[in-house]
Amino acid sequence: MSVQTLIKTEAINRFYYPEEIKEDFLKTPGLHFTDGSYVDSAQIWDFMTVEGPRRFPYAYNKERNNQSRMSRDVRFFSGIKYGYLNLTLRDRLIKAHENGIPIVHVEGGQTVDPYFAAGAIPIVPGPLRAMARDAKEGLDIKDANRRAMKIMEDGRQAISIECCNNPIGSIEAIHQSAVPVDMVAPYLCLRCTDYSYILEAYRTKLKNTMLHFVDFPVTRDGEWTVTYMAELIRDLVKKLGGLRGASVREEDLWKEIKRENRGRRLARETMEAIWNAEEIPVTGSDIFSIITSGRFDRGDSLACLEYLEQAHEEVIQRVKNGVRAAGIPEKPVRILTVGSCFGFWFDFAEEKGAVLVGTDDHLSKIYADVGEEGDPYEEIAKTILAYDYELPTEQRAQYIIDLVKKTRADGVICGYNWGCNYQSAVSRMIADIVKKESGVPTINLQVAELGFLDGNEQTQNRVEAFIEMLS
Amino acid sequence: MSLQTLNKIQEALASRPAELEKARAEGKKVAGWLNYNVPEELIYAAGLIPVHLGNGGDNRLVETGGRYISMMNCVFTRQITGQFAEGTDAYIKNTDAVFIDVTCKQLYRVYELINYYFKLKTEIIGVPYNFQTAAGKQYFRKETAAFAAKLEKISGKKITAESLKYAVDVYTAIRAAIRALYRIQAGQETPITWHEVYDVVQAAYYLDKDVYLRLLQELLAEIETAPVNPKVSPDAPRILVSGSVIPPGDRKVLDLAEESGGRVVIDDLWSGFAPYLDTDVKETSVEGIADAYIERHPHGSLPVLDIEQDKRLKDIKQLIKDYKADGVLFHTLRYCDCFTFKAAETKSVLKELNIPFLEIHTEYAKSDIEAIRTRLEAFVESLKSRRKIASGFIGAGI
Ligand code: SF4
Ligand code: SF4
Repeated sequence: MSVQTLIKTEAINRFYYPEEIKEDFLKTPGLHFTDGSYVDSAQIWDFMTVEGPRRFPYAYNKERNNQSRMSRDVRFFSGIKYGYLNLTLRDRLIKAHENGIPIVHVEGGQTVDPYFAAGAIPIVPGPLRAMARDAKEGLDIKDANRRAMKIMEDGRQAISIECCNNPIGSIEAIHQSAVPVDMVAPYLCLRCTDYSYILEAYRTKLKNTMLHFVDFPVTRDGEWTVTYMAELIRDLVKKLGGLRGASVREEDLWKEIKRENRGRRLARETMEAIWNAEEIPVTGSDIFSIITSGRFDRGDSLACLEYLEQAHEEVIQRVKNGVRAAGIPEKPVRILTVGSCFGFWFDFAEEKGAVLVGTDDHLSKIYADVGEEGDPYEEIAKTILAYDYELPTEQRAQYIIDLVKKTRADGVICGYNWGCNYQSAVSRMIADIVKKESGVPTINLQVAELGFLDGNEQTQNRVEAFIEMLS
Repeated sequence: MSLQTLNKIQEALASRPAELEKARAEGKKVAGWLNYNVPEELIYAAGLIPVHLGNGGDNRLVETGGRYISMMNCVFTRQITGQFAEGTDAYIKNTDAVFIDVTCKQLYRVYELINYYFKLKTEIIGVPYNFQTAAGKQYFRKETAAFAAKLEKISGKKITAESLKYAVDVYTAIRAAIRALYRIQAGQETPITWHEVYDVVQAAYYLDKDVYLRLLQELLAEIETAPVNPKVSPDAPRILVSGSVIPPGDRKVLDLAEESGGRVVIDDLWSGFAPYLDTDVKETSVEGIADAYIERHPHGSLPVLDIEQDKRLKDIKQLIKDYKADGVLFHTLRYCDCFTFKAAETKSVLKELNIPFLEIHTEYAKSDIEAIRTRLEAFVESLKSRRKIASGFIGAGI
């Protein structure tokens, strides 16, 4: 391909926010952050139309496998703000880190209330790996993907090719100092095979990063299990506070719990409105943003909450007006995905006539409020132990059946990521139970590399055939 | 000539399934168990018959199990699932209830699968991953007490102070006998090989504990006057085996190590010496048993983030010293992350001590046998050369 053709192709593939939406966008509110700062919609617009495309061109590439791209539904203004939270994450975390706010790497499957309450910023694998990739700016999609892959492959070379891409990509990024992380302190959720052992494998390599983990006891029903877990959370909070030389008060925990409960509530009300609507009012990628914001994964619980408030309002308005989101097919096949760390190809699914209505992993987090009375540590412990996703598999299957009803799903894709052995072990069992008890078709997929740009053809063919079968 | 007692142990094993069938017909119950931290003494003290389940080395069963679990789980969990799916294994057939401790969580998933697909009465015992904390220890005490209560319910009998003391005494004596056997087999000249001892250790999976203890004592007595086994070469490089489980039925890598001229003298496998190394019940009570299990040589599934606190690694270093091992064979099964991910660090720690290390990453299929053989032969050769260089090194046993 000549340089001229390449430039032309890149230009065709590039995504822009059209000028005609600017005026309406500027009328919408901005976002407050926990450090007291505020960005108004004009600042967000400037960033997303000038600075963003210059610094992070990959995010503006329309390639359908590009999971980092902006929502194509440009009139869903909250989506633009989510894009802003996404693309500014690195800047905000570096600033916070310089101001003495501890950055703590955690797993995806956990309530983050104690971390924010302790004055730290918890950061889960997806955004952390994106931050590491963004340490080099100006990359287009291929180069950005290559950079992320390189970090992950360096890690796999050091430890094992059997490592799941998420933890090895994240922990190797910390090892390479591509992200400013002060502590790695996940809960060892039952969902995750690799975090504990990869962390252990790096224990002598990560010299300037404190390492810690909180057990996830599998026997959830015993009174002593709550006591054990609460004790571990207490110790974690003490350690997190220690990073700033501060002690964390119970009222700090209650304040954060209340904020996050409100966010979780908003996220599920928004999702339920989407599922119940005649027309699907937002794209799969905006659905994903709403769900993941309900677990406060963009570095600021206040900004995430405000995003959710705005998204909720917009969704309700669209539902009232019978709006179908841009790019959503008429009468789409509704797909529910099941499995750890599942982020599917929204645009691909929509192109094939389907819409992804959610994933059991991420949805479990927005259905997990923390009790607002009693002992905050025990309340957090009870919530962790009651996570739907972490339940014994037969019970988890019942939760999925419930989600099938709620989301009005036509089909369920059960999948497991390369290296995710606890999930792979029960993926077929879940598919069997859900199919038998809900009557909805299911498939069971091994996904070699979730979220990757290339090499997905085989999985995509199976997904496409499944969608066709349901159409 | 083989030791007489070894033959007796083989005979006892051959008649064991029929014995279990008879015992069950007479109203006794069999508690099968899996993983590493099921306190067996309690099963015994509750009047149940403990049987340690799970075999390896059979690729047909691995494939059967893979239909339920997935091809991305370790072969051991796949084979166990296959064994439960088929239901023809003599011990599984004779199991009334299955107990699985949550040390390796892939085995926890096996618990869920056999519960759902094969409708077996199955129970779990939680194991703390923060096992070195006071809260973790307390949690395990509570889990052990709950386990004891479940056993009493199944057997319909109370665990009394007497039955507990008896059980603890029997198990303590068994552990002492196994430690003695390990010391003997590691001598420069020995009547019994490590391989034979390893088989004896795995006979404990199935045999009645009183019978087993008696046989161990007979074996120790016989060894005292038995001639040296000429097959054990005092010059062969001495190897420590560590890593993923090598259960009954799987001898692939062990056979290859010996065929390549190496001599295994010690292991810290959870299917081998690990449970005998330092389990020490200091107080005869349910809590005392819980503490002994959680404080002993830990299973690789329990992660430790501070290398200074890593007892498993410390024990390996000590075993290398005590057993005068020339090198370490680290056996890892595919998709056994807890051991596989430790390989690189273990290698570099041992390198600092000038101990050669070889990782063999494999499954039960035979397709990689020749490749493994080549690597093992090269490893053994390199150990031999090192010995030659460090002339006069070989000690007279331990
Ligand atoms: S895909 Fe599985 S192993 Fe990987 S990070 Fe997610 S939960 Fe952990
Ligand atoms: S510890 Fe490793 S070999 Fe043992 S069952 Fe677990 S995954 Fe398999």
